[in-house]
Amino acid sequence: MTPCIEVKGVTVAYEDRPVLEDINWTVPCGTLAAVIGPNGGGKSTLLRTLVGRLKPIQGQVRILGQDPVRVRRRISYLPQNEEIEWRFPLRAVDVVMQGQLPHTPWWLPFGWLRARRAPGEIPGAGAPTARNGAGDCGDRRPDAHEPGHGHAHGHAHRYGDAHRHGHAHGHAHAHGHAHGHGHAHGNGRSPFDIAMEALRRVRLEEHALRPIGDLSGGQRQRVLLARALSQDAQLILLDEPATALDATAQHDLLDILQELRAEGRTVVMTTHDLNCLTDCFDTVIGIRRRVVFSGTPEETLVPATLTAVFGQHVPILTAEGRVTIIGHD
Amino acid sequence: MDMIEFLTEPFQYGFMVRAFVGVSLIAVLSGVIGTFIMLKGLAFIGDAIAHAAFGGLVAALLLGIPLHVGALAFGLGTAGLLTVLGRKTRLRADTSLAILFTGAFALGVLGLSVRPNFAGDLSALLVGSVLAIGTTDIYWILGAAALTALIMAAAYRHLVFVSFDPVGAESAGLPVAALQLLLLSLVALTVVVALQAVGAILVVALLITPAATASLYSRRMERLIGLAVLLGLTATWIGLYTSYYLSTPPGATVVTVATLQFALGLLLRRRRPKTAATAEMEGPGVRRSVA
Repeated sequence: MTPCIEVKGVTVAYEDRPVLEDINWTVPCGTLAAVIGPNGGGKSTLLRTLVGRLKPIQGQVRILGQDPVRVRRRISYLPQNEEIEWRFPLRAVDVVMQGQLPHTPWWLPFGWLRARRAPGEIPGAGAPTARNGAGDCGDRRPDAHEPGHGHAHGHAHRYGDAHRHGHAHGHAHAHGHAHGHGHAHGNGRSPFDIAMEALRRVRLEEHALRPIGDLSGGQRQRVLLARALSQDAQLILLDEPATALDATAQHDLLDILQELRAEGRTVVMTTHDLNCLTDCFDTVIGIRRRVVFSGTPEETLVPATLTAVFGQHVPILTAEGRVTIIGHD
Repeated sequence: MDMIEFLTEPFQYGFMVRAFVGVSLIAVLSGVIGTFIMLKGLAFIGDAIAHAAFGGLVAALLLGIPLHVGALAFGLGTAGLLTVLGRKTRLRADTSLAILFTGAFALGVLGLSVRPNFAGDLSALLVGSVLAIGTTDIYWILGAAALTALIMAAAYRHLVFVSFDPVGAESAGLPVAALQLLLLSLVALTVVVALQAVGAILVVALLITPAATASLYSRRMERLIGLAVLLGLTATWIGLYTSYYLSTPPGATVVTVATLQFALGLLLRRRRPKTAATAEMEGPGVRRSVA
């Protein structure tokens, strides 16, 4: 099957200074991937290249088998918080509805009325993988770390229903590929309903009508995730989403990301928090201008790898099968 | 004199009718466009485009073409260059704007020195002259309003998305550069058609002040725009009646009323709740309703 992300020999430079060199990375659909590395190591640059905002001077990026610019509507990029005008007089649900706009030609008069149509299908869009259910990964975590985790199963079920429903009605425009998403968008539902469903899935339905500026950092992140769902993005890229979130908000976010992964969506996020790697992620890439390391979280958390990625010794502690970083910020 | 007579008396004069119609249309246009400008923190842009348009006015005078065409060309040129500079350099928008509008304005001054006998006409244009709004001006304003209404009907949500989160919009495949240029072009169009009527400085007041007053009371984009239009219209009408009966300069009177509206709005508003928790229970902007 076509991998979600395929990066081959990519070099990216700002002016003449290379920021990424000879990057090779393949991510199958339905993966939750972490990008780690020191500040200035090129993590954000990698995300911007994946979304097509930066052009490699060498090599090739393929998203769902195509040029990133051509499948932009299937990608959602959550920039670092400060790039957004949070003072805008919009309600959370208004922001989520924006996710449907990429599927609407802006120059068509009253084009937004058409937003309720099902988005077009992209060949190669991933089917849900059987690998991990929404709860699997979380089950490995100690209970104390799981505020609100009980919601996860119920929500996964609800989506599952919509999903089957979609298959019954939506196969007419299939391209021979299994594709599990997007059908919930059709069937004459209004943009508002689609947005509310997305907000329910990030557990923010009760805040739907509040001004976006009144929400906390974690809630804003989840609104942007809901927007990605409303867009029916297959690839979701998050730049430092966990920064400035407290432990509870980080866990809520990761819970939701795991659900999205379980639906077959691919999620890539940059992170500084090495301790959560083994709990949640399927794969980790360490970037310091070049790919220093790429593999499973368990393989990442060994002293030699961490030293290679960060260029300094990162003290770790191993107890009861869990690895804890104690000296890295 | 009874109330009806009081209200209708100004309309026996053609110039007063044109003033009411012209400035009212400008107020509606400014309410819509001004809300976007204020939210993006580009209050300065109205003034800048007005000064850039001055260069276009002089060029039009020298070339013998309609003044609006010259002003519009320079206004749109500024909007276009601003978009290009914003994407090709790391300059802040206000920096690019300052360079562009002073450059265009200087061109105007240089052009004027070639033909000094036009000075009288042009100073009238810079300050504006509400009572001199002609039928042609009304057509220009109507055209601008119709075009803006059409574009807003088609692309309003896209324009909001791009203004709110340009990076996210671009990543999702929206034509961000085209939409930003479209919005700036609408700003240029509004400023140019309003220039003749209210002048370079007062146009900024009509763009920003009603939108700012409205923002004290609403935190929903659509309501904010509606409120800004309403405030702009009432400021226009109160200002023009006052100007008629008290013989004050009409443009300045309208702006004074708009400023008083803002001051009053500031005094009368309920204090914005401090925390998100209290915001649930009270506060003007957080009343719950489903649109």
